Amino acid sequence: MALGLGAVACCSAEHPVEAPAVFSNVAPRLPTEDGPYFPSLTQSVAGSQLLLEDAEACMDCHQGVAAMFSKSAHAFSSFNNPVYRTSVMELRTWVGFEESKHCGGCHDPALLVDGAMDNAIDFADLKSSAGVNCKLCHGMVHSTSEGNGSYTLADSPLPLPSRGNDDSVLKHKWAVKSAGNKSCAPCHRSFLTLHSGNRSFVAGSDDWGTWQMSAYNGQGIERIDTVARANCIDCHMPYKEGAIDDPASKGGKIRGHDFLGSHTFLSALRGDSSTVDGHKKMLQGAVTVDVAAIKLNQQQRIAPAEEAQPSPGDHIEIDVVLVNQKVGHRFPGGTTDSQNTWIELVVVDAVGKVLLVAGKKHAEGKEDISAHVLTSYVADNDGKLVRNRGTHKFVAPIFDHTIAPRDAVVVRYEGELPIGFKSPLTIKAQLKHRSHNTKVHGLSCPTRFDKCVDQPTAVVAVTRRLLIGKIESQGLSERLLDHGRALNHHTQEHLEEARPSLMASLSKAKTVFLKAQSQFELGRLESMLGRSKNALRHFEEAEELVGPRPAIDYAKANVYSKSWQWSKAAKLHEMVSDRVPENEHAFERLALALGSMGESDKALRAAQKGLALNLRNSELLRVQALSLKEMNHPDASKAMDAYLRVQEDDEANQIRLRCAQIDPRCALEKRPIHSHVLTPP
Amino acid sequence: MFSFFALGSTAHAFCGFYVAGADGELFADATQVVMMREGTRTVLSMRNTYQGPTDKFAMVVPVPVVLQEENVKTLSKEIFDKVDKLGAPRLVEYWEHDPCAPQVRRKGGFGTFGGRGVRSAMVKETNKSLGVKVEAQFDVGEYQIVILSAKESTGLDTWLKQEKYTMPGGAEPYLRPYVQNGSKFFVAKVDPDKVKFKDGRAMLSPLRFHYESKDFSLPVRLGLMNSSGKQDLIVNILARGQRYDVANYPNTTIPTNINVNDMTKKRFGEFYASLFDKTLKKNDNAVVTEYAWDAGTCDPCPIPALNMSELATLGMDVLTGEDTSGAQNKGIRPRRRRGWGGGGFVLTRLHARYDKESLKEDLVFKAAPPIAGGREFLNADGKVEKGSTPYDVNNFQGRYAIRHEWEGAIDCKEPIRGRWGGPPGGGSPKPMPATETAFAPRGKVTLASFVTESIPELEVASGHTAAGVKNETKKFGNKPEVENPSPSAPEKLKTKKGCNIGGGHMAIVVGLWFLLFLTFRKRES
Repeated sequence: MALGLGAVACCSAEHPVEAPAVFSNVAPRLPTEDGPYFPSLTQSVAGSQLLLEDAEACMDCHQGVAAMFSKSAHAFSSFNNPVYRTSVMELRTWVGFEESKHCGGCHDPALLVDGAMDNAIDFADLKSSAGVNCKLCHGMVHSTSEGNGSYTLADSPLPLPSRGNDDSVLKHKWAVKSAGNKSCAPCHRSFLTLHSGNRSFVAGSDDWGTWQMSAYNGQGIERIDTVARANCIDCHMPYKEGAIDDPASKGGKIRGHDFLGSHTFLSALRGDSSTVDGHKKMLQGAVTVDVAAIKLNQQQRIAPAEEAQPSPGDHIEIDVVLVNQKVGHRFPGGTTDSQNTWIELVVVDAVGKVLLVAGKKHAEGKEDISAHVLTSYVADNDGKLVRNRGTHKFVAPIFDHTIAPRDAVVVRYEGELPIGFKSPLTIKAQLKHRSHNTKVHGLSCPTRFDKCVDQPTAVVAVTRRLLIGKIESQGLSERLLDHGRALNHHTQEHLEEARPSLMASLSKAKTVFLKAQSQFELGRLESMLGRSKNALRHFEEAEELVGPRPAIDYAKANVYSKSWQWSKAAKLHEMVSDRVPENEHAFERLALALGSMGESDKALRAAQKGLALNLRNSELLRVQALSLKEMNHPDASKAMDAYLRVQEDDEANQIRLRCAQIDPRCALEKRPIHSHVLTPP
Repeated sequence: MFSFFALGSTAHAFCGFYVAGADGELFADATQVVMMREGTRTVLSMRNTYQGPTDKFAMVVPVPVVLQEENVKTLSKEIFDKVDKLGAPRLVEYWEHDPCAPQVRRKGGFGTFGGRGVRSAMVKETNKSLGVKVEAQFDVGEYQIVILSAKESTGLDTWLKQEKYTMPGGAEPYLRPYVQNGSKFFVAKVDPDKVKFKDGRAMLSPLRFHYESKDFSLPVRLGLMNSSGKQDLIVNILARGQRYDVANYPNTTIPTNINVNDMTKKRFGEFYASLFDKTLKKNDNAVVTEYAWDAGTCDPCPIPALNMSELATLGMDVLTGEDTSGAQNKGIRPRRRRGWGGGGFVLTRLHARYDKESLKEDLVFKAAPPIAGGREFLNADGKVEKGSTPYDVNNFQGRYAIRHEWEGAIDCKEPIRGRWGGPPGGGSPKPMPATETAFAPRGKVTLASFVTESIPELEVASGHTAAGVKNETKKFGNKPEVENPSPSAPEKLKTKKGCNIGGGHMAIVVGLWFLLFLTFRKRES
């Protein structure tokens, strides 16, 4: 079971959890495949008693924190969460108790450490609704970023403070000091394996990894970007006022332990409207939506859209651009296969008559292929999409329409305007969010709760564009840049569609930074089109404008790699990896370049540095294995086996082909940029 | 990439390199590619020839994903011939009608013949100790296809050794990046008893496979490592309603609708080679579009156009239909397209001729707008259209005409000249396609000596009258025009090193990053 929590773990103070890789020897870095609670990677010698008792003790003193925590998704991570409960019960029923333990480390630690998951669950047992409680984050003595609960819990009770005894307070503070941001990693990276009942390895949610490689962590290399650094705690646990009596408060402020994110459904189940509102507020503006461009009657695309003036009977093609502005991981995050964030598009005329719509029926819970949904789809053995969190059936990822941090995507709509309407037209696009797709919601409703609660709908973003034939100049260059950047995700033969917007963005950019960003995206476009010289020229121009950037060197290195100029590529990749040492992709590219050159020793070192960040990166595991093989290392075969265990299923290609043949949504959505149909209301 | 390796001494050639055994040399001297593309799906068919020792050999094909048995097929050689002929530049022969005969008006401004095209008849075994898992093994045609999920060069190497094939030493640096980057492989072992050798050369059955990928490119650069000569590459692309050209090289269309003299009939290949070379000389490093037309129609047709069954053979059977029936039924709007026929597939034929100096990047394809040209289409000035122009459907071909002017008496007040059609005695001679032009003699006759009219875009003046009398007068420039005599004169492929093309060997060879073709001659037991 991939994790069902979109928010992250707790606490404020930072202390080192695990040192980065050090090359004291050349032993292979291998994923963990055993442990007391395997397939969860949790390590603990203590039973649930500590978890529960300590949590109760916490609540006695930290009532402000406890009040917030009780509203959080973390408090409902166990069998008290109907979505998780349905999902894990299906796994236990159809696959086995043993396999279901891979969920336990992050959803049911209290059951897991008592061995209770080896038997039928007693729902009356408090352990089955203990959630991810205080002890988990505050009693974590060690954690890694391996995922699936890769933490170690303290085996002794938390020392409790005595009033007036400063020493005891200090001891308590020291003992409960969490690993901070790093305590999120063990549970916000997940994966499925043979041990979880899957026939092959499938990567799960990885909010930790995407954040770690993002600009928010100062490690971004995909684009020239400037954002203030922020980590899990900054976003999901901002300081809040109103807990003056809580001993943990500082000046009346305390870290938010309600872990706001996007779990509106769980809050709604409890009738907790204030937390629902908190989630909605968190979602607002996280992603922006723009009606960016219009194409009429197969003529040239017009960007920005408001410059177009459609006539009755025209064929209209609308590009809606979404930009992940504020989310440090992919949006939506968590278990992306069950996510339900979609676009509603409406075209109305000057007197308010609705002419065309898309995505409207989706809100009613109906199958609506005109709706673009930000989600990921995974198919089973037969090529059927698995949309009900039946994770044990996951075999082949089909597509992922969630949006990476700071990235832009384009969603296209097509339709025929009716004869007779009053100009000008207005196009309204809304991005809406619910916690779960209809199937997951439907399956989960009638479980523990006596009534089925509708999912709250949050409006993430809304925009209206009046097609008046002239340009709204405010933010024009940024809009054009976003459009061009989004079109850079197109299939290779259609990449040229990005050029007009990028060129226009460059010419209209009012700041040096925007010019550099436009140059950079033009360079990426040229690189993807195989025009190395042009690509390098654009990257040089970007560098002249904003100085050296890891993203620019990374992009240049990729140009060299494409043309097999491995030594040039490796040199640049090495510089990049030095500057973004927490970005596994930087090491991945470096290792591949060095490996292609035949520099086994250096390739191994690069691979192992990357593996220190993500032990199940299949590219890095492959380079490690090949390097060790060339060095005649005695553990080379172990390394190769480890790689083979995390590679994509051999039949994945075939399953993707089959899925497209049997499911129209699969056929449509597998294209990076595809058209949804606009129809009369 | 089509890189051929064999045992023993290494002979680098046009496709990266290929090797020959100690007792012989091995060549891969012809490859032809037909690609079908829709969405993210690519169906790639290829045919290549083999020249070398006639004992067992095999090709190892790296592919981006692990294929399954149903993903790999063999096709008939005839289907490739058909695609080649359909898109090939064509020579037509017209006779002028009696200028005094009554005029029959036709709609659309066309001349004697229709311009838009006359629709033709629409018409697991696991060996863990090796680190190699054999996905499937099956016999088809002369091949025994073995699909591997090998993840390491040593695993592949071990398997090949076990099968008594040997990895040539020089191949390793070229193979390494494929293995490092996670390429998958299938092996096509060839049973020589099922292959007909003629002069030591065999045309192998075409192989077809398909996969999903966002990229649509043909990495030919790898095929040029160690090459020293010119190579011809012809890529046929079939896609619904879509023409393609290349993104990373200049594009040009072949000059078309050129009138030529009688001599051309016997030396059409030579004429076309000179026209092509001249076009490249004028458009340095360009990829030449020779054909872009609805695959279900042609005009004139050297052969019947492709029917649905043939399109299915070339890959339509495995397209997802995301633009067509399945999608429509479920409310997905297909893209608006005009001028569809034959399933709506457009056949684009791209022709490149390059060497390692001129080809620095793999070929990346891009969608291109429709064009027209090469039809018997009269412009407003009453002259047949020249060159290529944007159009609403794809109607472009390389067409060259021998025109027999009316030689009879003209006994009327207002004779109408320039009405062309079939021979006076009736009948309808078939257009002659120019195939295997890479083999054509080069540099022996000037282009001007073939044409009866100037070719302004190439600055070539007619060197002959319509009757074929040589006229050395040059309209453009002062220097006598000499066709580039080197390096493409046909000669037997050089062995040991080099990428020389010729010797009657068509050299349409592709170096695909995902099609690293390694040929191993079976080790002497």
